[in-house]
Amino acid sequence: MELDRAPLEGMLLSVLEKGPAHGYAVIERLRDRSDGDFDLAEGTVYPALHRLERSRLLGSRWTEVGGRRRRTYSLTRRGRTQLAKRRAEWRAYAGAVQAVIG
Amino acid sequence: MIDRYLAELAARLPRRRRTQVLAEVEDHLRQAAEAHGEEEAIRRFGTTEEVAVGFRTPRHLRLGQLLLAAAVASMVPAFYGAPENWLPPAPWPEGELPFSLAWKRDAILVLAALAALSTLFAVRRLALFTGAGAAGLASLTAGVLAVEWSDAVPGAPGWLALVGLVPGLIAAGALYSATAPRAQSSK
Repeated sequence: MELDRAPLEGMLLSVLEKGPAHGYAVIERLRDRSDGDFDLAEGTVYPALHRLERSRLLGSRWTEVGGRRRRTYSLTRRGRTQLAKRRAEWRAYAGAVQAVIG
Repeated sequence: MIDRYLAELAARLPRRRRTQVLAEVEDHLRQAAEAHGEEEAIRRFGTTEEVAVGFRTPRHLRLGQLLLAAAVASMVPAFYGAPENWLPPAPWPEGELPFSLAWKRDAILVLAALAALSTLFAVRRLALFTGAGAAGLASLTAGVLAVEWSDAVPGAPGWLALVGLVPGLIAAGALYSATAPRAQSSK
């Protein structure tokens, strides 16, 4: 299933609501939550994570795990507010489409 | 295999972000390879082109940035490079650029440079503020400057008033870049 930018970003914020995670774990959570429906090219998630960080909706920090550098993302306060807003917008949008399509 | 993929990706990534992105991608691929094998990890990750395109500045934005940089760069020699008594129709009555014009010239350049820099470095919010600031202040200042310039120097050509358009164009570019949608979709 193809994902546009806005819903993907909303979903990334949502999976990070549960707690901080690195990119690989974010993708796993996304796949688990969608029951595998969103089988996206995993590499395309990283630019979205970077955009969200530049918008200060996510924060990140580097750690060292097993000799490899790992970047862990977490939701900022601004990210939480934005997530609540996007959720409300999405529900309104989905409800309207549902009402029309049936 | 992963090393070859990373080398190919490195060649496609913007230099500014390369080191951090590669470290992050390598961590992902090694972890995925432990679970699925290298070939499958790379297949799931996507082609290097697919990944790199997400990190690139969209073409229309890059063009805007280049135009902004060129516009600012062209203002510096125009305002500062020429001897003060050289600008047409020299000489100035007082022998040098009047102070009332000099500080306005500096204000325009500072605002234009801020707008351009914030756009070049894609600081969206700053670009928006400086762009709006430049649009309001610099255009007004430059307009006044151009008129005063013409008044201060008898016989100054009318086209000098066009100088007032330059910061306005820069500000418009900054605003456009700051507000333009960055269309990208992820598969």
